[in-house]
Order: sequence, then structure tokens, then C-alpha cells
Amino acid sequence: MVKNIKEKIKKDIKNNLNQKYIKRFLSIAAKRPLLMLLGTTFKSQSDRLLNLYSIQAMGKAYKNSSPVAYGSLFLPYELFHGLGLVPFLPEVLAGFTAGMGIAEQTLKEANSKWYSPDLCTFHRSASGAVELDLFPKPRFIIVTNLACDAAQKAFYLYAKKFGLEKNFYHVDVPYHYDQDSISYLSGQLKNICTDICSKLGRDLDIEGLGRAIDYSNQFRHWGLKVNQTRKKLYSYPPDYNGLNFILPFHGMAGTKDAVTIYREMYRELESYTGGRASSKRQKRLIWLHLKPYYKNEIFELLKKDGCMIAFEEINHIYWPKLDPDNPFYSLAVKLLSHYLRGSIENRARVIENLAKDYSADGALFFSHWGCRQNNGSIRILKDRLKAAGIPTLAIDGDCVDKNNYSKGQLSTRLQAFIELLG
Amino acid sequence: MGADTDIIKKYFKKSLAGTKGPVIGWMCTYAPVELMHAAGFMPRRIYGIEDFKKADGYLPINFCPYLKSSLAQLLKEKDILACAAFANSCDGSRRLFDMSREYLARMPAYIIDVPRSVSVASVDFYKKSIKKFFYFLKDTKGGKAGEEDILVSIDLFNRIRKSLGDLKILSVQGRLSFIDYCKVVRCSAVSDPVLFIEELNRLLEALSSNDSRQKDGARLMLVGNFINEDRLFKILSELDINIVDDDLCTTKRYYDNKVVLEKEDVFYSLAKSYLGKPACMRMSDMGAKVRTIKEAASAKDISAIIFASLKFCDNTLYFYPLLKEELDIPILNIELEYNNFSEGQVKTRIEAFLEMIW
Repeated sequence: MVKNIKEKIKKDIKNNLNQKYIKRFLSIAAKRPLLMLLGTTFKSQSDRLLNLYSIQAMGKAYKNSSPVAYGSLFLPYELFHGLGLVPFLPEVLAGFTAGMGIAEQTLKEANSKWYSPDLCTFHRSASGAVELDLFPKPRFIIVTNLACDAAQKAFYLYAKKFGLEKNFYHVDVPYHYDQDSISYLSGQLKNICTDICSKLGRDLDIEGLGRAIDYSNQFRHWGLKVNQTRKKLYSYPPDYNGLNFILPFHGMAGTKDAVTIYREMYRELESYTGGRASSKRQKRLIWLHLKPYYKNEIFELLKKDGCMIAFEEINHIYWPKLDPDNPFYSLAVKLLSHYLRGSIENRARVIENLAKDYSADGALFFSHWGCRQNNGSIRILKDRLKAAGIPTLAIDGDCVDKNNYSKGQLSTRLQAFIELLG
Repeated sequence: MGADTDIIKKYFKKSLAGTKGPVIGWMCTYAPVELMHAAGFMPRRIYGIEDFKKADGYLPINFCPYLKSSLAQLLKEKDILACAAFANSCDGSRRLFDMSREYLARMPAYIIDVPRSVSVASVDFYKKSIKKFFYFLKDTKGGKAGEEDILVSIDLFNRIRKSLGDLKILSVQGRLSFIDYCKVVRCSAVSDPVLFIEELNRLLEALSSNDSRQKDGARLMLVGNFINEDRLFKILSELDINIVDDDLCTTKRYYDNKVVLEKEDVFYSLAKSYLGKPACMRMSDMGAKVRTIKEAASAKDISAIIFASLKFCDNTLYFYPLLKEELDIPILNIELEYNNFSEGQVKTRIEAFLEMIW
């Protein structure tokens, strides 16, 4: 029955693809009684909180009663929450377009507006959604080049579309991590915040930023505990998938909600640590990059063949504890600490350590079409992992466009890889 | 791509053969060649090689073909190059630098951090960035190069760039074909600069006495990324059109830059001029880039734009929808691979476009 309700919601949204309908749906779904009811339909606490808080966050953005700011994935969202901006993450929403089955329409719209099919479908689908007027109108647009070029370009086009070129901010993250980079970056963050506050007619609320950073540190504390606990897990709560937590990990950093999600996740996962490995030991895999967000069989196939995702690269907590008294400096350090900044050496080191820490038997690399920074690094990462004795399988696919997914081919490759793991 | 014949053989024999000093392979127009030269290197731009199958084993199929071709060149010439300089210009460049570090570990290589915006802070950051690059060059090369040497190199490259600008004027006047202009610009980036400027000035002198043969056809602008396709340049040269402006990594964005000494600080001066040169589409303010193109089109009475993009260049591919939306003149989009060029098809498309606009 629950499945039927969810399918019906998807179908309704697909058939009524306009912002008004989405807004109406969220205004009803985000209300407490319905949220509580909806909460009973999830099989695990982690999944429940993830979904409820995500609906709330989206509801808030679509309600548009506080200034909405679009942000790209790797920004320090502590800034948004500290300034009282409601973040809206088009790349994450592009994942939703895949999950809701509307990516075909958004991608088609992007194609009709001259976006090349060779571009990343996260950005193309989000661009299509902007063109179709499915996303709430922002007041500010903030983007970083951290990780990839595509976001800064796509976000500029959103700014143009909304007539917001003067409220478009690019956080230019340098390649190297040194004192000059920290100064350059923290100066940018301060200027952006000052400008936004002046446009909102407010003083820069340093205390507010400090509070967001306090929450961020608490979230980091529980996140580290979650990651520590996962090292000794042989099973997960039902429907738990670490690749689903992108929104809280990024967009909610600096909120009480993220603290709650990760604290409760830790408690739930801790209750699973008593389990022993089955007689035939599970194969533990590290998942690299993202996953397809449309309906697919990858995780069922892995489970059937005795594999578990021991950890996902995207859940690695890469930044040090932040200093609430020095928000801009701290957040510059957070940005520069990201393993996707600069040389592939940073990422290779993180992955090698994760493979060791999580006793990985192998690594699965989901190679999302159009992601240059990721796909251009596969050869090096495979070679590094091979040298460390970790077999790696790179799966070519697309996180958003299900037309680039071939179940038969994927199943054959996965099985061959799992056999190789012994 | 194609063999350097005719004009190059006739005028630039000496500079192409010049091998004074160890060779540094460089990429991206934001890498200051002055510093490489001042440190005692012979700067040679990496244009890639035509057969880059070898790079397929390192980089995926949907990756910038120029960078793949460059990787193949680096693998082939690893024993010739003393050093390589990259810039943090795009995702692809970062990955190419990684490749060179991982698989060509014995070849010293450096990646220059280039900001994406132009501001007081970014110029200051870039100044520090290129200063570190210069220290790297000095460490690698040895020797005692200093600011005096940089000043000499600034003067040399300013003269080269000025003369390349003059060459463009002669090309617009019809005294030189578009393909020959492109070949000479390419030659400037791979030859001995001291010899090149002498030979270029001789060529300019010879061309000045040529008759002006402007064509009757449309006045067009060529916009794109790393376009190094002689077969395209040949088509454009043979048609009854005038390419009155070209905004490419391989032409204007490379040479339209004069370093003016300010604050008696060579690094500041270089940083300011390099960030102020015609922008690559990687830069943050895409609107400013569109405005520059529109202003040039209006000032030069350009009736249409040919937009040529190498496949899989995100910065360029995202720029196209914006430019198309903003322009009030027709634009033709051509996507190119690096060694696979369908001459007939491209020619037909351009001709059809010209029929429509002219």
C-alpha cells in the first residue's frame, strides 16, 4: 500500500509538471500531521528522518517566505544557514527528477535550449527544470568551481534566466592548499556574505554564523561516529543507503536537523553492530562517486551476490573541526580540505585509506557520463587501488538519465567482478 | 591540424629550428611564457599530435580531444621536454596534469593556479601564484634568473604579440589568407621567440607591399576554444567571406595581451595583464564575455558568428546557449573532434549558413 501511495505521488507530479502543483503538494506534505503519517511508512529511522527533513527543506524553499539561495553541492552551507538563507540545491534536485521519473522531460527541455547532450545530466536536468519553471525563484545564486567546471557555468545561466546576474556569486576555490589560498578564499566568503547582507538590508550576523558553525561541528561529531560505527557493520537497517544522504551532508550542514539526522543514524547503526558476518563472509565494497537515482537493480544484485557497501567515498568527513569565532577562515579551510580540490593525489589518498579502514575487498566506481573530473581520474585511481591490492570495477552509466542504463550488461559485469573477488 | 607548409617553410625556418636552451612544454594562454623564457627555458606550446590512440588507455572517450592529444604528445616527447607547465584552467587540464605526474613522473611539471574572476584580490592571488611558478622554474632549471631577465622577456613577448596583432590586420585586409595567419600564430608558440620576431617582421614587411584583396562576402567572427584545425581554416579561407575577428585559444586569446609594467612589480604586471586579456570561457563572468563578443561584432560590422567548439569542453558548451540567446546576429555551431574532421560536411553546413545570412 505504501508503495502504491508513493507511486501515485510520482505519477501525479509527472502528470502535473508545474511549480504550482509541486508547491501545493509540498505545502500539504510538509505539514506536521501528514509528515508524521508519512514517517510511519519508512522502515528505518535514518531513512525516515532523511525523507522527512528533506521534504521540510524543500517545502521551505518552495514556500519562499525567506530568501531562497541556489547553491552548488560543495559549498559550505553553514554560510546559508548563518545568514538566514534557505538553500536550494539544483544538483540534488536533479537527482530527484530522476527518482520521480521526470528527468526525460527536463532533459528534453534542456536539449531544446541548446544544452549539448555531452554535458553532465545533473546539470542538464536541473537546467531543464529551471527552463520549465519547476524550481522556486531564488533571490541569490552561489556556486563554486570546487570539483567541477559545469556547476559554475550552469548556475550562471540560472542567474541569467532569473535576471539575477548581480546576485550571482562565484566562490573561486584555488587549486593549491596554502596560506595564500586560505586568505583569498576567506576574503571571498566574507565579501559575499557582506554583499548579501547589504542587499537584504541587514548587518552581517557573525553570531548567527558562529551558531551555524556550532551546529556544523555537532553534525561533524555525529558523522564521524557514524563512519566509525560503519567499520564494524555487517548489515544495515532496511532501505538504508549511504548514497542517499547528500542533502543533509551538504545542504543541511549548519542546522539542528543535520545534527538530529546523524545522531539518530549513529544510534540506529550502533544497534546493528551486534550482528555477525554470515558463514560465507560478505564482500565489502567501497563505492566511489555517485549512484543512479532512478529505479535500478544495482544494489539488489550486489546484495544477492553477497556484497555490502561498506562505505561510500561521498560520506567521508574531510574537514577539521571549525572555529565559530573565525567563520570565514574556517569555512575556507573546509572548502580547501575537500579531496576533490586540486590534484587527484588528494582523492587517491582518501580512497586508499577508506579501503583500508573499511576492510574493503573491492571498489565500485560509478562513472557518470559527462563528469570529466571524475572520469578523467579513473585510470589513476584504478592503478592506485590495484597497487594496494584492491580490485576495482568501473561501471559506465548515468546517474540521472535512465536511457543510459543497461540492466543486462551491468548484471554481467557485476557478477564477473564479484566472482573475481572470490 | 595539419602540416606546416608554404608560408612557414618560406619565412620561419630558423625560428622553428631554434633549440636554444631546454624545452618547456606549456598549455593554456593563462600560463605566462615570459617567466618560462626568463628562467632560461625555450617555451613550446603543446598542440597535441594527430595520432592519439595511446591516450585512450588513460582518459575516457568523452574527454577533451585536445587534452587527450596533448597527453599522447607528452608520452611521446617525454625525453625531449625538460619540463611542462599546466594551468588550472579546467577539469580536463587538472586531470592531464595528474596524468603527467603519475605516468611521466621524471618530467618536472607544475600547475599554475589561475583565478576565475578579475578583481583586486584575484590579481593579487594570481601574482603570488605566478611568483611560485617562477621559483619552480628557477629551481628546475638552476641559474640566477631574476627580475631583469623577466623584463627582457616581457619586452620580447610584447613585441611578438604586437606583431601578431599587425598580422591579423593584414589578414583582415586580405593581404594574407586566414589559414596562413593561423599557421603563423601557431608557429609563434612553438619556435624560438628571439628568431621568430625577426622572421615575423620580415614577413610583415613583405605582406605590407601586397595588394589588399578584401572579399565581397560576409564579415564573420570565429569564436571557440582550442581550434587548431587547418582543414577548417582552409574552408574559411577559400569561401567568399572575411574572418574579421577570431576569439580562440589558438589565436587572439593567446596574443592579444600587452604587459604594461605597473607598480614596478613584474609579477603584478604580468598577473594583471594576463587576467585582463581576452577571457577564456572558463572565467566566471560569462556575461562579460558575451558583451565583449557583441561589442566586437558591432564595432567591426560583423554579420554572423561561427562558433567552433571541440567536443566535451564544458566551459564552451555551456557558453553557447547563453551566446545564442544574447546575440542579435546569426550564429552557427560546429562541434569538432581533434583528428577526425569531416571536411565535406562542415563545408556544406557553412555554405548553407552563408546562403541564409548573405
